[in-house]
Amino acid sequence: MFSLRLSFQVAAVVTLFTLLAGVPVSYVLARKNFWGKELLDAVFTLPLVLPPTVTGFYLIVLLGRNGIIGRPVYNLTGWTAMFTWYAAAAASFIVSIPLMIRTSRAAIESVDENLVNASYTLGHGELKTALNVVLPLARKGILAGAVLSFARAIGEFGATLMFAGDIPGKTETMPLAIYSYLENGEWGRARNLVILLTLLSLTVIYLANRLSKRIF
Amino acid sequence: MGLSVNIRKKFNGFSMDAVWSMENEIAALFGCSGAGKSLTLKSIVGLIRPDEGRIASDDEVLFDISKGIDLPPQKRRLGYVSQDLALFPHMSVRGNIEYGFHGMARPFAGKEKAKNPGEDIDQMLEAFGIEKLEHKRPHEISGGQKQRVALARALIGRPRALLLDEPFSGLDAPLRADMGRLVSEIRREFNIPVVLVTHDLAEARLLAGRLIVYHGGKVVQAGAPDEVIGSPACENVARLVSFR
Repeated sequence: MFSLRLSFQVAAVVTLFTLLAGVPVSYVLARKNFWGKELLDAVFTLPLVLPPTVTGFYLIVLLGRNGIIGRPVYNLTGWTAMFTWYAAAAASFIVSIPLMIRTSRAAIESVDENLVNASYTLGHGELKTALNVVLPLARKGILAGAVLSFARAIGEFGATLMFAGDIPGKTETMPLAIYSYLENGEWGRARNLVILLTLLSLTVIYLANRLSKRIF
Repeated sequence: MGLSVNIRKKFNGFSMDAVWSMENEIAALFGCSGAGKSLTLKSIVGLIRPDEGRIASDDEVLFDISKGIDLPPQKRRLGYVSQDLALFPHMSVRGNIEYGFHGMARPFAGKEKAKNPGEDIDQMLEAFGIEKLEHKRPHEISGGQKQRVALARALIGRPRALLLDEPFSGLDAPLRADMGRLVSEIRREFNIPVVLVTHDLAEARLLAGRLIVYHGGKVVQAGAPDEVIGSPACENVARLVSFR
């Protein structure tokens, strides 16, 4: 089943990238003080509350064929992300990253400051302290954030529809497939996917909660 | 060998004014809670930045506001044991000590030694009588054992001085006496100045060659313990050092 495979592919790639981008951002938000820090946090949280149409709109404006970044790329290479699975991944990434950042920021903030100080007085600089003390002690929260991002990416619909379109066999993820089945009156197929997606999401939320007790 | 401290810091209506020095000996910072003892220790190790003043260990200046010197804690090479010990819960006893080795001993050890820290760590485990615990996690061992691990971890890097912030406050009396003897032994073996924060006068008198009395953020008297106890400089000191 293509949509199932694509959803997993998108979610896996998105999880990897939310970890790569989200952990450093969370670390900085949790442990550094600078002007505009809470504003930055708000910007990273925005996709959580904005309607998917708005997120999709921003993505098109930025990365679309005539977008701010998309146009020079298209002119240079003749390639555009729109209507490819990359677009689906980008859309899912944007809506997933807030979950990653919120969860791991909280986890990093809750690491005992005395342990961080102990690492410094034992002769380790900030990078080593981050890698050997802060992140290992925050690992549960970070893992929970990754699991939630994965779940959010699997369930992403609106921004994906706007930015990647609903192209069967190309960009049609599970939620999009459910939408198409319903439109075509294929109730049985839609129902099967709905049950599958529900069970999957339930498992993921359960896992995330087991990993970190308080997320919401 | 010695330590000299001359620092001031103000915050939230509290002001610290600590001026004292010590030789290669055990010095006890003595006073009530909130008198600025821990704050002084944190300033010496570099976790708190004083507003002004100077901190030096022998001829090595660690902090001097007038010269713009402020070494970060990881460059000060001081052994510090905080009140809560701060053992890393995700590392074994051995792992904790090895972490100390890699932080401080390694930059000063030969390359061969740095590659194979095993021997040093074995020695340390044995010296502190914790070799049987090496694979345990901090939450699996007793309070007294944790103290020993924290001391071993702070000392494996051969620091210039050892600073202990009420490290025995959680222990009962017999164990406290044991740890006191251990600190005296450490001072002799490692031959470094030891600063001990305490509000236990008997402990200070027993262990320390120098008693530094804090009151309300200031050092009000410093000297040999019997001297201070025998002739307190002011009423506050008299009150603090009288055995009730």
